[in-house]
Amino acid sequence: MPPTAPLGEFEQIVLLAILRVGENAYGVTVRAEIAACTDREPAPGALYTTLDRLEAKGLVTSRLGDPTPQRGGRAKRYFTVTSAGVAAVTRAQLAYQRLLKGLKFPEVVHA
Amino acid sequence: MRNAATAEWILSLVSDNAASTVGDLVEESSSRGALWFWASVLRTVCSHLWRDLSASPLRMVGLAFWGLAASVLAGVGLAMPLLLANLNLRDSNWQIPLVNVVICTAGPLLGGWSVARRSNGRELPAAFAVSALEAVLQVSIGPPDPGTNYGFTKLCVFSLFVIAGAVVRRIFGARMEARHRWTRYLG
Repeated sequence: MPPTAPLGEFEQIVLLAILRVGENAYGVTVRAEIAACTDREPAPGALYTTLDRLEAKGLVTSRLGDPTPQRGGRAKRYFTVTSAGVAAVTRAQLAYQRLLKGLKFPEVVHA
Repeated sequence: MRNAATAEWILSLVSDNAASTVGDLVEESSSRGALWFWASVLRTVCSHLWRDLSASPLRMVGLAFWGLAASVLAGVGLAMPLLLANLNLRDSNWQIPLVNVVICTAGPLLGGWSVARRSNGRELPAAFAVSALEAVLQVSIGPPDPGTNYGFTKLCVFSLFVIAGAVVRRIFGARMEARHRWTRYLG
């Protein structure tokens, strides 16, 4: 499988959040996971456009769940990271780790 | 919920997954309130608009030129009979304000309609591109009638009518599609 274009920072965050949430990954839970792990709440618009982009790149797939009354009868759109998505986020994280290797951060050393 | 239905319709002008997106926002708004819901809808529309404009800029520029040309041609075409009538009735100038109204309203409406027909379910970004092109032209070559300060107002009116034309085309398109589905079903 040919490698995809490099991932942006937010794309990596979204992929990792979907992987962390697992089977129940839809807009609300992914946003909540990102907010809990990064202390920043992504704008809904940014999240949905990123999810659409990741799906267009073949890094995630989506399926519609059953409609629920508390959502006004609208179905949830569940996301799953594909094997290409796992490979892409792994490559990106390994690149970060290589960049960090050998660097010393005073705040971390003296903590 | 009526508000959610309206929001879903607005989002469907820029997204294929409007229902699930609005469902998420409805679910979250139960603890955050209506203001957060509408602000989120607006921000989501803006994000999708920007995505569509930046994802295929050449196509959007092409649609913008098409829409602008269509609105100018439609405005001039509709106003021409009135202008010709004005030439014959030299002592009466009642046609001139009417010509302005036709050029400023019917032209952009038809331009919006025309550009929406070619936008493949992306009516709002296409209409927005036409308005942006009009703004760029106004800034670069100046307003059509120098000496007046109506440039910005005219741009707003033009944009409103282009977007209205695109939205009306969407409504008619959806109705025609529904009728076609029924015809196929009954046939």
